[in-house]
Amino acid sequence: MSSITVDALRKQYGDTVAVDGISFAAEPGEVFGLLGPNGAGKTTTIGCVSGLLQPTAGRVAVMDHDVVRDAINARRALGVVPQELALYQDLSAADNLAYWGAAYDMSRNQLRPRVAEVLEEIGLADRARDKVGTFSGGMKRRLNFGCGIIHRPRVLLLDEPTAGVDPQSRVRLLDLVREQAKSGTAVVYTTHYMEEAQELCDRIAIVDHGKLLAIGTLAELRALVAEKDLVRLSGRFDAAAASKGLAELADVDVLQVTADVVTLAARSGSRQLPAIFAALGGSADIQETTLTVPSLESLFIKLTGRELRE
Amino acid sequence: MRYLFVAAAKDIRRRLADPAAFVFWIGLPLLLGGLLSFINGDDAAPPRATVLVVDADDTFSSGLLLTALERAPTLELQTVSLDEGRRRIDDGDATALLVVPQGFEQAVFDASAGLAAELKLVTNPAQQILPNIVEETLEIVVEGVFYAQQIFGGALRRIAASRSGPPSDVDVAAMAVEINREVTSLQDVLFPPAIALTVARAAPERTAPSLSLGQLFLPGMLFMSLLFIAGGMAGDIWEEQQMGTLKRALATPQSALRLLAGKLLAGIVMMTAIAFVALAAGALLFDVAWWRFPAALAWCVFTGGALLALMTPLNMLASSQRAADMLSSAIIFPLMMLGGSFFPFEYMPAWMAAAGRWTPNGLGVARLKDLLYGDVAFAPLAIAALGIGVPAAAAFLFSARKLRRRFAML
Repeated sequence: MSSITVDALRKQYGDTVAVDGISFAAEPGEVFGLLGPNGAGKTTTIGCVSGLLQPTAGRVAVMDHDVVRDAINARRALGVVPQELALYQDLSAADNLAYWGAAYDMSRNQLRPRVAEVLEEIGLADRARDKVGTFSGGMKRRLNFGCGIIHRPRVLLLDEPTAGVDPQSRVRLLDLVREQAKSGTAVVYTTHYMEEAQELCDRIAIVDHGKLLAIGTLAELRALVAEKDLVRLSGRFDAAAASKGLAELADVDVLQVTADVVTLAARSGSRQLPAIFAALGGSADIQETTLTVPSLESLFIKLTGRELRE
Repeated sequence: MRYLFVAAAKDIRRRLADPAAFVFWIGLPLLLGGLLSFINGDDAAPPRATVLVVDADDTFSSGLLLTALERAPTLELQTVSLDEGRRRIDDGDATALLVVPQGFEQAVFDASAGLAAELKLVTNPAQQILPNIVEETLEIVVEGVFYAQQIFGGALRRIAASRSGPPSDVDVAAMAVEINREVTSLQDVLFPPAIALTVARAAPERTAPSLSLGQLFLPGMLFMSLLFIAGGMAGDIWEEQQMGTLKRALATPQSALRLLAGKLLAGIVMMTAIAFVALAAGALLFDVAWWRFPAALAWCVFTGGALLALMTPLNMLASSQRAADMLSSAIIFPLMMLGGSFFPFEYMPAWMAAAGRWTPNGLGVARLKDLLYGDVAFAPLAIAALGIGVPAAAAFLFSARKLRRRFAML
């Protein structure tokens, strides 16, 4: 049994399709990444999984509990760390943890040691009684994470938890995520940071415009770009002539050609550069050349024809 | 069940962490009540002017004058020596110093001989109103003494002359005969009086309230506080939305009904505390009977909770926190106005009072008055409880149903 199963999930607002038939599953102890640019449908997917949003079609189950028909049990197994901070600024860190623990029906006896344990884990034991309003941004992020794991969820949903976090807190948060996975929790992690997904996730699903474009381990996804290097040229180009010239090159896939940018996937890219320059013709004014070994970035560009951060 | 109490405790602690809002909820009605109590004269003893008296004449006539002055309810006479009187007036310790000079009686009885009786009144310049009251009262009394002397001068002289002891029976009989003659000679004027003063009072449109102003205002003021709390706690949904905690709460196993019930419970606890303080203040300041306290408190808590439940759907219908605040204000202030919080029903035009008594808070105020000062009849209380409770329950269920759909998407 998968910890979480998303099957042909669709969410529509009027004529706008936010999520269009996404399917994936996450296993216990796995960090599953949902990678995509802003507006790709990641947060809507998380909203449907967490039971906040009613799917238009498809099925979502958490620990085999349907999030619509058996919502209470599904939610009981879930921990949610929302993108925005969701904390009571007027209460202390310990009070916040205790409240969210009680919201998951933890008893007073269960809560007392667990609050202390989580405070230790997130490095806020010495600030337990301080009001959250006095915390730094990184500390709040860690507490936000702590509130999501206070009840030891079987599935943890993390919606861009490192957005706007300083590097030190980011490293700490990623360590906390790994520790959760190590303890057997299935983690669904949404991000638009490619490096984060590469570093943290066991499997990754790439989504854009509400559709799932690719899914697999990092190695499997790299294989999709056929181990080709990513060559990116910027300057001034005659797009039509460049497309025509480049199409004749062997072992070179044309990913994107505009008047300013040409992006290619090329086997042994550095050796192919002279041929690429020649194919662009004399009218091309190349100002910068970047060569990148195969990555999620190149896959994303291959799949969508644009960069992840566009 | 435990979650309900934890959620309520959380909201109460958040409110206590924001003392400004809490103080406003309870402070504004208390401030208004305090001002009214200050302005209100019928709850406190009327202000009295302290008049220091130096009776240098010490005669029957000066005694008659001072006795007449003493009967004025606004004056308190203290006999002092001239030096003490001057010192205390200089210190601002009294309203006025009245000196009755030696020879006062002689001058009164010999007024026809052209002698003038002169009284000296020194007033305290630091006081504005009371010295005028003393002056006016003294003028009235002096005038009375003058006419008494004019009409019954002979008899008075004989009384004044019998210093050694009470007048003899013969003297009393002679004085009675003389006074009777004087009255008989004035009979045409006095019986019936030549001048008749007819005072016509406009009939009040309704029975004048027998309650003091403070007693009249207390229920309305208390419900003003309850309405503020109801509005604030109902708007807390939007505050939680802004903090992101509402969405997180909706992702927990707790139902929307329980989330709202936690807020309702928090509101009820705060309302209980505030109603307790207000009713205790009422008992101390406005003579509310203590035995009426428990029922009045229970009624306040019930209606306060119902008001909170009634205010909650407004927040579900609003498109933003700002819109919710505006909508709340647009409803709360007219409700206060109609429902007897700004003016008691007794001072409203009849049509307004009739309408106001059927607003949710107006029902609460009207029945609270019965519970505090009147006879408690079951039927009106039950009708009011149903009138408030049933719509409140419906509003609460509507809000619980709407909460997830309304806020999960934001």
